[in-house]
Amino acid sequence: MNRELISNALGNIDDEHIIKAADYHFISKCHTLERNRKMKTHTLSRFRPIFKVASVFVLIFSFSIVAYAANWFNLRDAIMAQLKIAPQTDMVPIATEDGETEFTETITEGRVVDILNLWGNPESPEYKATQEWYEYYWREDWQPVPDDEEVNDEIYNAYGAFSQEDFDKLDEICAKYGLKLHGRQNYSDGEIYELYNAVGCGNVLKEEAKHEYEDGYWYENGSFKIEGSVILPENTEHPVDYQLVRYVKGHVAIGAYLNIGDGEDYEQWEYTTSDGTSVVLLHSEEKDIVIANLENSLVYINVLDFSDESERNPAVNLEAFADTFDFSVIE
Amino acid sequence: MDDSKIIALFYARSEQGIDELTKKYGALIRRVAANILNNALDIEECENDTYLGVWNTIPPQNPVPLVTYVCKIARNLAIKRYHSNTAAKRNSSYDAALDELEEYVPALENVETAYDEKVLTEAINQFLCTLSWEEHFMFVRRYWYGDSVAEIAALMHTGSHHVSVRLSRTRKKLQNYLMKEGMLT
Repeated sequence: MNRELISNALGNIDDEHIIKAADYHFISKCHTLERNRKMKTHTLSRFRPIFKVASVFVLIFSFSIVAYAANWFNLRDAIMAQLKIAPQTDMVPIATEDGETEFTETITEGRVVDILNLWGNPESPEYKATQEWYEYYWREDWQPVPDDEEVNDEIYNAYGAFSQEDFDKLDEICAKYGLKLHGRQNYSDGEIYELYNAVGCGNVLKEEAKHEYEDGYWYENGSFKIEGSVILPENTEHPVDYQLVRYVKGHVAIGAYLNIGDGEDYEQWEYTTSDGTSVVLLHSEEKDIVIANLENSLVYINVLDFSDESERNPAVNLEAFADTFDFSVIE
Repeated sequence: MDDSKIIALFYARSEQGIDELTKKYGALIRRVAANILNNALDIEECENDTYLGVWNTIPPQNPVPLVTYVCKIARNLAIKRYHSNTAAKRNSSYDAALDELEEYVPALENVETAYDEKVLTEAINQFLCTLSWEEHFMFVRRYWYGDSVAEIAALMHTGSHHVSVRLSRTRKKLQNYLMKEGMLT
């Protein structure tokens, strides 16, 4: 009886909850790819020719540059593919003046977006592994694995691999590029120092900054993800939500790529943070990203919501944001 | 096509309305049905019954938003079919979801059967308002849409383990909420 009761009670929840969970803007808020491939179409393509030319040009110069200097990264070089996003209909909640919530239908036109490989350097094994897994995973003839045929293995499942074929492909990539998988995932139970202790690093979120740690997890190899928000100094009280991810080199990274919209819309510049780390900053109307290429790892911060009432230059905001992190505590 | 135009086609009793509805929401309807039912034939019949249900109720209904209305019809039809199939076989993603919830909501107290659903629905509505975006998204995708943990993880670009842990905590939160409301001891 209880089972049916729960089922029926859930069936009658308010529409707003159903719409909110159907709202794919949430997913773009997470700055992730729309991966519900049962309902979407997609196509892959290689680099744009112009980007290839640019990449050769940059590589020639990069050999004379000191290791880990910020110009290891060139946005055009790092765009590894394009993805065709089908038109979609979303119900977007809008707060009215009287405090109520109304839902309006918005239709997002289909478009082609650039996929950024966060490893930056197309010659690195990590970049190649990310690209090969991406191309395998997003291939035209991809079919979802039926639930009753899924193969459960926590380590492989974390990559979105649910069939033996997927597992074999990951093993092949590891062997081909001399990389390992991340290992088991562990979850931080509301205490960030548990994560730091496990991966052996100091506090990445500067004590003097107004950080609010929300969530995090880590892998056996020391890779981790932190979600939180920070209120920028001398700015507004509006918190900036972010995801900070560390990928340990020598491993096939989980999801080391981002949908960045149109790569042509971005400004890229180098910045040395207050802890002396050289980082790459990427800014567009659509997204802000911070990337640090450290000795043993790659760290990127995905800014989820930079909207505020401040009149400061977005570049200044992004630099101030980067300064609230201490990259020197990560190897 | 805009929802209002689809509804206008239904009002005009034009079968093009069903074509447009299929084009726009067919995949979503199939997904909702497939998450609850395992059998391809059941899913197809549920989809067709949903179109019939919409055809029979618009007019007089003029639902805004249409997407929720359609999803609800699909879900209700799928649940109905699910219950009639349950005695024979239970192995859908939705079964697993109900198993998870049942563990934390073992037996409600102080409510009469006829009154149960309404009270629990209201409590869940209130509870959902207390959740963060992520928790809310995971909970509704899992227990209303019937998505598998792996599907939610893929949607959120995160690991299945992460989603499992978050869902487990949210279920515990629901249990605490219901206890606080005097519905569980």
